[in-house]
Amino acid sequence: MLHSVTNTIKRYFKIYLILIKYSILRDLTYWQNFIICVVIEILYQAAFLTFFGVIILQTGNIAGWGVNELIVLLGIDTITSELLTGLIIVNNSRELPAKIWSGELDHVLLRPIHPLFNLMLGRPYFPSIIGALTGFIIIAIGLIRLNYFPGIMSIIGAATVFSSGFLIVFSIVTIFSLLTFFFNDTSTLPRIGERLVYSFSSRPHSIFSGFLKTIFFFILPIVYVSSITSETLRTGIEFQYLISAVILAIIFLFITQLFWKVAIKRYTSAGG
Amino acid sequence: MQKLFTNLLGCPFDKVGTSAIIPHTPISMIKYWAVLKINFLSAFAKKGDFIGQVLINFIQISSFILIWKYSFNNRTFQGYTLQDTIVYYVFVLFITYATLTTTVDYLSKSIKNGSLSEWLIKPRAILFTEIARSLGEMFFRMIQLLPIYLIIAIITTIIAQTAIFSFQSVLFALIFALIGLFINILLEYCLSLLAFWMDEVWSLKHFKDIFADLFGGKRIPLAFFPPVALSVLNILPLRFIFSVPLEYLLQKKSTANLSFDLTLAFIWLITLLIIANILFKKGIRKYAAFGN
Repeated sequence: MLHSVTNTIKRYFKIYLILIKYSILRDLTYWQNFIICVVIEILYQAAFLTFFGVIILQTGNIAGWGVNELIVLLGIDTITSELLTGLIIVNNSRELPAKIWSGELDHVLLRPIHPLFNLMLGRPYFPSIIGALTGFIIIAIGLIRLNYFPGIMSIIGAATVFSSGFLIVFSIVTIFSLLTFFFNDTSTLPRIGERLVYSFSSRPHSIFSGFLKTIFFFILPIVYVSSITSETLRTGIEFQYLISAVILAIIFLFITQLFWKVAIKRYTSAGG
Repeated sequence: MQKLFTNLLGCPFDKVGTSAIIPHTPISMIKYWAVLKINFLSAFAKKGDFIGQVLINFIQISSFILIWKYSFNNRTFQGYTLQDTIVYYVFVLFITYATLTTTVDYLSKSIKNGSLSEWLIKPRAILFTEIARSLGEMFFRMIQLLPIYLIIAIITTIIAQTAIFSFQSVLFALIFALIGLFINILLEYCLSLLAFWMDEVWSLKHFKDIFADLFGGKRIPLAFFPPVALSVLNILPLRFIFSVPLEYLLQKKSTANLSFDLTLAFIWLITLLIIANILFKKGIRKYAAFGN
């Protein structure tokens, strides 16, 4: 059993490496376009940082988070949003409605790998993956300004929460994208999922209270990927967050798989 | 005078007859009205997409409101209370859809794939066609949004226990929203014309959108920027797309600002028309009709 699981993971890892290689080759074919795409990603990040900069300039802090704490959070969120954009969104989830309408999904279903893997991760967008690197620089600036260097346990804890949080936001984007099987008069459903993540993952989790806390900690648990990761990195592991992040990631992956099985039954292969 | 306008509008068909270039007669206006009507009606076919886009913008704006809610703490920043800021963000969505245009997507593709030729043989000025098309789409959006925003305006007035808008502020906001739409169309028209020289102009559209969102007042009221930045932003055309209509609507600006804003808007409209004309004249010489 364990051997079979390990073999499957190895197989998918090999396939993913090949997909990344082809993605890089394809993106670099038009290298001028590639550079422009990287510049656009950096401009988006600059706009994002300016937005928070102006708020901080006026208010001094956001819900008790000072400038340096926010810099660490924004660094982690830069990595989140760029990886999400590059690995899942641009060439994958956004293309799903067109594939359903045209009947192109047939080709995906015929391949000997899980169709969801192929659909949601099949074509990485490399400029965004490069754009994620600036996130590490922003985190480093924040930590240096805080004069704090996290220990190994904090880094492992933060990496675990981030990975779990990333699986959660992957699931949220995927579920919203799969809704296209049910509502085929719009191509905007994948964008609703991504907008939810982009808009709320960068907010400090302490701003969510009451009803919003239930939503963003349990129903659409977007806070783990950036905000809780940032706190774990700065203040060390909080086991309640660590455990809930891992459990929620497993639950959300399970729901996504279940939702796929229901959604694919709606596919007619006829297009339209 | 007619020649001057012909040059400014950049119509390639100097020999076609002036009614095709300048809509100076009722008959020549009919064809633009037809474009407007067709685009208004065809927008209904994409109603699902429109509702989705409104939801996407609503999510984004909710996240802005949420962050300000926890930052104000009963304070006032640059004359804005928390309530003012919330109303600003709620109505920024309305102004976004009033001044939205898809000129780059539409026109640059035509230049790239050669379908611009179809536009050139028709007795219509491309710029006017674009304006009519954008107005048609805008009317569709407004019909969808107006009932919702009327209800929001009534609720806001009841909560605030005072009228947030006046007849005059609404009128000025609508005038400046229309000016904002024209400026946005002209900006995108100029960017589209760069497709005569470049393979892709979508990247430039992204640049424009990033700058307009941030420095035009969609993401954040311009009053919150530091004074040095504000002095520069105040003379750029981007603020007419979001900030100026909203400031008039929320009565952050009065008739005292009117002459300056109108003059500046007029200067930008003329400047952009001249740039568009130069770009069109130079670009059309490079156009190869089979795709650029």
